[in-house]
Amino acid sequence: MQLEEQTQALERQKAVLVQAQDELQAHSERLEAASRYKSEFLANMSHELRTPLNSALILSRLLADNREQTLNTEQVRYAQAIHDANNDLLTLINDILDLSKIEAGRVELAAEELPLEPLLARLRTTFEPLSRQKGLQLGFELRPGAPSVLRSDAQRLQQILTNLLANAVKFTDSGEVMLRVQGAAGDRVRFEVSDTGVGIAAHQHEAVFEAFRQADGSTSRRYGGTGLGLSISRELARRLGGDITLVSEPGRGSCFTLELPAVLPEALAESVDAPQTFACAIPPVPFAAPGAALNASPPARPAPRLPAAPPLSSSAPTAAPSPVNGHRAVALIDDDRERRRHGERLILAVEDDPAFAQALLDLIHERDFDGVVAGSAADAIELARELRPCGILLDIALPDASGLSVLERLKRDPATRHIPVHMVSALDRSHTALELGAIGHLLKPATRDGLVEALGQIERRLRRSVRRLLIVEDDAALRENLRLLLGDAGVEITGVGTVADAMAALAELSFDCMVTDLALPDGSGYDLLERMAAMESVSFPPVIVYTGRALTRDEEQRLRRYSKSIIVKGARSPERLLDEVTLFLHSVEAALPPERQRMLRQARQRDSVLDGRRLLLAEDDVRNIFALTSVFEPLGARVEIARNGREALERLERGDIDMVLMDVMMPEMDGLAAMRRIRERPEWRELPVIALTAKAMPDDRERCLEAGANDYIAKPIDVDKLVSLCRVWTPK
Amino acid sequence: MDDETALFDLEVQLLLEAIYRRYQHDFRDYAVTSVRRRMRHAMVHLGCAHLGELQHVLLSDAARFRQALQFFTVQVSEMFRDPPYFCALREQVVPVLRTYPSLKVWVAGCSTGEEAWSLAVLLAEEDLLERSLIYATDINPASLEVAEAGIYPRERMAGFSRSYHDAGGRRSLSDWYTAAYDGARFDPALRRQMVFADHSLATDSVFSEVHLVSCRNVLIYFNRGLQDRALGLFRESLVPRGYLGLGSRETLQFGRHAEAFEPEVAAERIYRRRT
Repeated sequence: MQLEEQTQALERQKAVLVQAQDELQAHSERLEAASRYKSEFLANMSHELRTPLNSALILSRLLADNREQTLNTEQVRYAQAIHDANNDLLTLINDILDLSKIEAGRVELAAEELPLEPLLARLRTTFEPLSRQKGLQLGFELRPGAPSVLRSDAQRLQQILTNLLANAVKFTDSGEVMLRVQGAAGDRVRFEVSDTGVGIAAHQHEAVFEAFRQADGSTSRRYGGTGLGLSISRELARRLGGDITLVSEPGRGSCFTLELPAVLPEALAESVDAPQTFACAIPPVPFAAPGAALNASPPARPAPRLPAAPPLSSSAPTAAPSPVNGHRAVALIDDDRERRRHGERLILAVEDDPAFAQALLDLIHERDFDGVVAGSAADAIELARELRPCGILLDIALPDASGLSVLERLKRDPATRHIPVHMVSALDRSHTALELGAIGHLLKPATRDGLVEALGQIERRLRRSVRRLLIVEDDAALRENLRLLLGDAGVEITGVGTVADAMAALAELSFDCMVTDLALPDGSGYDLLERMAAMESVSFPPVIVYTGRALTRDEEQRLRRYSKSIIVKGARSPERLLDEVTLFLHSVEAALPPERQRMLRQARQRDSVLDGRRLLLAEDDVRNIFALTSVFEPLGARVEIARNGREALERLERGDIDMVLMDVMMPEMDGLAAMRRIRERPEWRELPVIALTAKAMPDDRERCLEAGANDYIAKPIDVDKLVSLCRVWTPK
Repeated sequence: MDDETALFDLEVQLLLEAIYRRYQHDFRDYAVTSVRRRMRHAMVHLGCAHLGELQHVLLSDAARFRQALQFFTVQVSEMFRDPPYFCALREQVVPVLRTYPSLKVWVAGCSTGEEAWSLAVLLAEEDLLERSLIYATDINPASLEVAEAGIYPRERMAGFSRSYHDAGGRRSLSDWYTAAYDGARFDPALRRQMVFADHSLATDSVFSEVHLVSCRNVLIYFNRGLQDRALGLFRESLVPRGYLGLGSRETLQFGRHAEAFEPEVAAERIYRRRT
């Protein structure tokens, strides 16, 4: 009986224990998660901090430079002080980021062969100048028994040693700083960094490794630094399978010992692979050119105060994605819009991160271009139209819209479509960008070489003065005459007589313009154009159709898809041909985005609302037909054309139309009359009709609405606005 | 300028502003001397002793305003006015227009339509009308109605015919119209290729791409700012290397768009868009 009670009591106790254990486990899991969240938060936060800081850095630098000589000496000193303070702040933030990254387990370790002697030589080069300046002995010793080659993460190991040495040099006013390397039991290696500096009291030995604490509250005031260096170093050492220990007494110097496995256990390298999400959240260094990046951490320049941050912290991300106000900071960059020196040689850099924008601007200057910086999509479009730069470097992640939409709009506008655009972005959208007409795509982090090459590509575009013209004409005599007519010093002409030869020539060379007859021995001009459009590998230059007979409206409509210029042969046609060819070869129309790209695009970028819809466009203007078709078809809508109100009604009779875009000014039956007729029919009462008109007054709008339009858009048509209108009115 | 005229001008300005706000018809940038004349003209016809009275009538009665519109714009128009202009079009411009598979002509400020019908006849004789479209635009609905009807008093036909021949007409003008009672009605077949529409050079925008703009004796009634606006519309509307015809007393020189055009037949004020 008693035994049973005891057993029951024990059972109860056991249950309580198990429960307590579970709770403890849950607690510890929550704690771990909280700690991870904290680190992640810190990591993200540091990025948010860095962006505004970068602009502060640049602006204070500009102030301190006092180029316009408007500041007095005192003020320049203030500006310098602001700059230095910002620099320190940046170092701190970099360290926080580094630490939180390590704590969050988001550090990539790569084990590689690491010979010790070159490592020591590098460290010596780094620290010798400052030690000499402070009058310190700097010694490196590779003890017998130490391995000559390690297998570990070179970058991280160097980061730890640099930090230990930097501290040693910082806290030592006289005497020596030594680094000794020796073997240790269990295939380990030991790095001892000893100094003859101020030393640390025993009760503070642990504190020096804790983040945000230094041995003595006053230390930071005297020596500067963030106090994070050792925390980072110890965390890193532990990731590498080792640890850092400290032996020190006040006044007797310190000795920090890093001990780690000579060969990094594979499990460690594997377990700490950086998760993909993190790699996305934090873009890498944009531009790691020595001395070129303004945001390089302080150790990159000989600073009087060696920060606790390791010099290699520049390998940590230094440019965060800019928040929405990034373009404002960019707007303050002193670019060349007011003082052009290189004539036509102007590059527009579209980049919302001020530091990277400034770096781009510097590089642009180095290549003898003027540079103008835009920090938003809207600015980019406006500046491109206004300044007509000879090339554009375009980021994708912009605060107000995607860089791809900027590219698309630039290529849609006849005034800007010829400008070569090179993408520079952390996002890999190269396929889409090239389809949209970009000349190249450079992935961030962009190396200096990569950027130089991008500018080089623009440069070559600029230099290509010889234009290539393809003439497709089966009459040999006429072909020769055209060659004489169009021949010019800057034009290289290829003449062919058949569809097959034309296709071969197009596959071989890229032409700036093509003149073609419609009647060819092995097929019609339509066949040629359609085959060109279907072939991805064939470039599609602007096409001038030179035809011997007048065309019907349907034939013309069919050709318009591929050719903007159709010439009917006659007494004055050679003159017009010359005009048009000249226009295509030398004017802004020269680099029409290939029709092929438009067609390719049709398969993508569909709009869920408009996809599969049938729009009836009742419009007589070729330009608008062309423009609206090329906007709506890529969105997945099918556009049908009616050339007047009567044709529109006829088309509606056949059914299957989701929406009507109705021009008001049309022959035979105008838009207002057509809309009234539509509304007379009960089955069309709900059909969405949007009126397109050149009239802009409020009562004009009233007239359209009275006639039965659901909405109204004024010419010249803002296609974006029209697409939005169509989305609104598309029946659900 | 005497005080009375200055005061009159001031009142006119206020009236034009009021008209703009009430009816969105914008005469504020019309040339001062012409507006002064037009207003006096309107006062006489509407029996108003002074401008204040005219203002009251125009603003309070929309129907009277529509009626008065004809006094605000110049209605004088003839067929084949300035025959050498049409000769030049036939000889210099049409051969180039012929190289376009389809073409569009804009008669801006067409008034009662005589110029638009003249161009229709010309293009028909050149065998181009079938593939052409003529936009005839004006701000005055009453004028547009007359223009669209294509019916003109018979007594004007003699003068029109003379000009037609001087302008290089190949046949007889009477081939293109039917006389009935005391009017002459132009061939409805011509009408099929024409669009008559209300369009204001002062407030509206470009509506189509065209190959020839004929806008004669319209700009002289505009001040410089409005002239620039109208020429900007023409420039935007024209295809590269498209043609612009102006009136004999009008010129592109000095304006904001002077550089965008080059003279093609200088004597006849025919210009060509450069690119």
